[in-house]
Amino acid sequence: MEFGPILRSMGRNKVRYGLIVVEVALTLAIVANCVNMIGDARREMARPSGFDDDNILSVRSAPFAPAFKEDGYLDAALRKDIEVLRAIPGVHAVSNTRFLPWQGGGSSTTTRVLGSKGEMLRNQVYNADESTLETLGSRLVEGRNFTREEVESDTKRLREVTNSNRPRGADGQPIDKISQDVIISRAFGDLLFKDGKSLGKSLEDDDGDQYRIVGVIDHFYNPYGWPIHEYVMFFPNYSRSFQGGSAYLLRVDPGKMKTVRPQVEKALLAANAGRNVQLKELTEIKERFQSQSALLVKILSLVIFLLLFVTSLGIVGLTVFSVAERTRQIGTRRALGARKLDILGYFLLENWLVTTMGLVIGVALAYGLNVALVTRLNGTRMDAGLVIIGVALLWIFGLGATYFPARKGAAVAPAVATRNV
Amino acid sequence: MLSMKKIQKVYRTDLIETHALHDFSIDVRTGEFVAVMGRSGSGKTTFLNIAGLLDTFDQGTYHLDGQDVSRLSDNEMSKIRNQKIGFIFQSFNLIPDLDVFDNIDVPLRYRRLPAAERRERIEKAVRTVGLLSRIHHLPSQLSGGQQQRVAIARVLAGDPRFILADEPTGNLDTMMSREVMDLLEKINEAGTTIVMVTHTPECASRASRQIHLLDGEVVDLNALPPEDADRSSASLASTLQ
Amino acid sequence: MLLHNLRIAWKSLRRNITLSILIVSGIALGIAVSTTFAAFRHAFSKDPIPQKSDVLRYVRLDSWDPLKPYPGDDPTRPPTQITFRDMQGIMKSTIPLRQSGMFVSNMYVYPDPKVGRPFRELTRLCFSDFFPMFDVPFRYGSGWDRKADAGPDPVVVLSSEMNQKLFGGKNSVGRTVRLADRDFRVVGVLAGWRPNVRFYDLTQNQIATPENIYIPFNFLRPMQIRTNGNTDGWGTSGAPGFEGFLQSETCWVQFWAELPNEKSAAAYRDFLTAYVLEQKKMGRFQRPLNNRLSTVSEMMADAGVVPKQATAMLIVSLLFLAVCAVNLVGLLLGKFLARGGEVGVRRALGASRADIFLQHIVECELIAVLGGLVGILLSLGALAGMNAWLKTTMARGDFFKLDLSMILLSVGLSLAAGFIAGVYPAWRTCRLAPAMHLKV
Repeated sequence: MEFGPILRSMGRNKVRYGLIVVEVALTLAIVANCVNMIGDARREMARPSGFDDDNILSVRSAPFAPAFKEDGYLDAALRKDIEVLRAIPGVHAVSNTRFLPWQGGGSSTTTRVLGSKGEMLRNQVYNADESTLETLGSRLVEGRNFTREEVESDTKRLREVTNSNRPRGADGQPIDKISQDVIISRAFGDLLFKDGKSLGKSLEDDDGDQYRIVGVIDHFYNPYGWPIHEYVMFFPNYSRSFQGGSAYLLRVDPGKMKTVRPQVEKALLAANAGRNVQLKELTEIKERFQSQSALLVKILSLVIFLLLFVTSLGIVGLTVFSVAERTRQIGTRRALGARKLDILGYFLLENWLVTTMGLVIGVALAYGLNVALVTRLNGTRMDAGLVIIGVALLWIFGLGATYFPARKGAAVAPAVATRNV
Repeated sequence: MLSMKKIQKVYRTDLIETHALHDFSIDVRTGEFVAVMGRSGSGKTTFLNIAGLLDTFDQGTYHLDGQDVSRLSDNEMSKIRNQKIGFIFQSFNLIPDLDVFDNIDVPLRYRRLPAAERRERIEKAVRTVGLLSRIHHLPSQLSGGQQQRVAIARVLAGDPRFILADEPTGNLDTMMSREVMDLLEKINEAGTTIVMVTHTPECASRASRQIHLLDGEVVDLNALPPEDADRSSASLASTLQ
Repeated sequence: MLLHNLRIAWKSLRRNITLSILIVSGIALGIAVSTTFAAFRHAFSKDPIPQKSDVLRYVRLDSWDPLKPYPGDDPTRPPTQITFRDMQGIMKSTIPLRQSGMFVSNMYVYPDPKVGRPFRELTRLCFSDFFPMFDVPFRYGSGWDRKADAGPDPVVVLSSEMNQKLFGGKNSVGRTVRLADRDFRVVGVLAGWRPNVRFYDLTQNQIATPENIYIPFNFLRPMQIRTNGNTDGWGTSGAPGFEGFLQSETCWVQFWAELPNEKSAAAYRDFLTAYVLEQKKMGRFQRPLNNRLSTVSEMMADAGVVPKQATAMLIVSLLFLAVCAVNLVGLLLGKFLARGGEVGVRRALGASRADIFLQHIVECELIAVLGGLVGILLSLGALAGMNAWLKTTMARGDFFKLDLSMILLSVGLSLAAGFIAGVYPAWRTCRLAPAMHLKV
């Protein structure tokens, strides 16, 4: 169709069309960056933990009865608790571990390859028993799991060490080193060993204590304050104390959460009433951890919607004025033989040209804004696909917003041409 | 009162120049009632715009009420329009969201008159045109004749030195036209100079003097060859029908 | 004249209600979005204790690992907390008007069995200066005195919520609360102390409300109370047992000093330098001297209290407002130019360009202010929604507020948007040649 006349007519109304160009450009910049932020948040939320999130229940027992201050009493209570929990129908596995996925943190330490003299690397560290991997639903890809005997003997050994005054050498490190067998995540193994072959190798910590890798699990992801989400080391230990209570994870058979959950507190208090019991499903913990991201996604989606609405409003306004101003001209064109479709097409093409000019500038703006946001905040670089989505959205909204007022213009009667003003 | 000497006005576009007024001269004495006639394109509107200080001109001089108004700033022209000139338009040009009172108030506000004086002037003017009972009506609630009377009241309230009327009866039926013309005559008799652009001979006959415009120049109809005069009056007549 | 112009503007808006609603709602959305995100960010960033923010100083000392810096975004930053040994060391100074080390623990409360089962509650251990230093408001009683610090005397301060829970909200001063294995005497009940950010301890849950129970710090040893906050350790784990933990290089104590003027701040800085140099002689503090004496706002910046997304969202929302303003320019231009006839009449009747400009800019401002008011209402709704969300995750429903400064900001933004958007259309309108539009 007639590009020339349209462009010349736009040239005579530079400001009015220029405004829409600017508006469309800004809108594209914002929409593309919002979509980018939504993408980041969703990717983060969709990241799998590697655990059977839907079927895990966290159980925390917090004792207040003074009897719990005794080690022997605590040990007996722990064994009893595990027994009672396992007996609940629908429970697949029970583990005593302080690890709780999706709470946004945990505990960490620093280690390095034994004898490497290299940099100490930070990793998450949690106690585990023989059922921890089964309870989490983690898959062992190399090596072996902890045995029950190993967990019990290591628990005893560690307790003796920490309760005694470890003699220290001139370097401040304990003279007698402890050695423990540990299970790590594959990502941590890849970080420690260039060739990824970590099984059987040993690590050391600041005290010079040693950790021999006996097992590797395939996937581990637990968001942490520091960038160590995928690096973990599990050591064999039953963990309980009067102060810290004892923590259990339960894995239930699929779909059994509703029937198991109400029985847990009853069963534990029946076994020992001198404590409080706190239950949380992993899905609740995860939801709470992700609620900020979820809110962000909602807000950004709303912003995109409102922005497109406002921009459409501007385009509708422009077309209405443009039609009103040219009523006579349209009548003349109609009188000269233009079909309604030609008039409609004229306005749609005019708008498409304006929108597209805006989009060309907008693509540059979008990348500019992205760079500004990325350097100032840690977002991700925008990929071209997102810009294309933004461009497509604005084309659709632009044409939609032009269509209705333009149809009114097309409906102008040819007789207008002969009417005296 | 009004004296134009050799006024020239050219409208330029990219391609063509149109001489709207060409060596145009006219004198209107104080107290006169002048009708300016001419067919469309004769320069009537340009004359009106220049006389009313709504537009500037390229050459010549223009004295209004003894003052040279040929080269004034926009603000000075606004001030003279506001204080010395009264406009009456064919389509009344009342402001649709303002009622009668507020419409008459518009020029007085631009004159920054105190509220009490404005009220007094407005009420007096409305009484003169006989619309006191409608003082809080909107223009859309009035007939065409009433609207034009409001426009005249707007002029009276400003107490101008002279009135420019542009086809004041163009949108009115015969009855109402007569009323409006009676009113204008009365105002003229009270001493206000009136210049009226019209192509209605009946209206023009009310004036004390008629001036004919043809292609941007004043013509003396009697001096034209008979057939030209016929043709111009014929075209005038055809426009009227 | 202004009032008259406002009246004209109002009439002009009423002439075409649909168009006016569109125009006003466009700007209202812009104001709503930008106000909401400004208030969102402001909730985190505003000074939680403006009357004292320049005299309160948080102390950090770099007692960390000689081999590598304290982990975090900025390697020049010392650990966020200090060791127990250093707290004891620097508390000997008499320079600060008030000072307190502090930490939070999770302690068992044993209420009257008629009230309920024993429960765990976050309890802050601090010195008597804590309450006057932070201007903590009391409903009943007061904080404890320095003698009670030294004892330590078994005294406790409760929040109004805890007082409600344990004593039904009655004046409980003199009553007894059992915490862990001891009885504590209530000396004070707080009067709804709710700073927007828990500025005195930014190591955890920064926007949580203050703790519900406060007891003297020195119960630490006799009751062997462990911190429930972050503990940052490095190097060897130290001697075993509780005393070993206290004497270790583990950082877990927060420390605040009130330094009423620059002179005392300078003197205190010198004191800390001398303290660290002294410790260096004893083989500790092997890293370069790196003491920090930070104001509340510096601490909030270091702790990253304002979420990075909040800043990103604020930028986006201001751009959103810019789009709305550009949109407004187009709509106003159309509206005003369509009114050429009326402007011509006014000009013929003697209006100067300035009169016409003023009339139209007033109309723009009226539109913007109306939009601003609607926008503020919308943003109140949005903030209520966010508070409801926060209540489910943080048990706090009063975090996001539209305070006076935010309302002024949004009114200011409205006026600015109206002016910026209106200048060009109003200018174009007042430049219309008066003669062009008279014959209609």
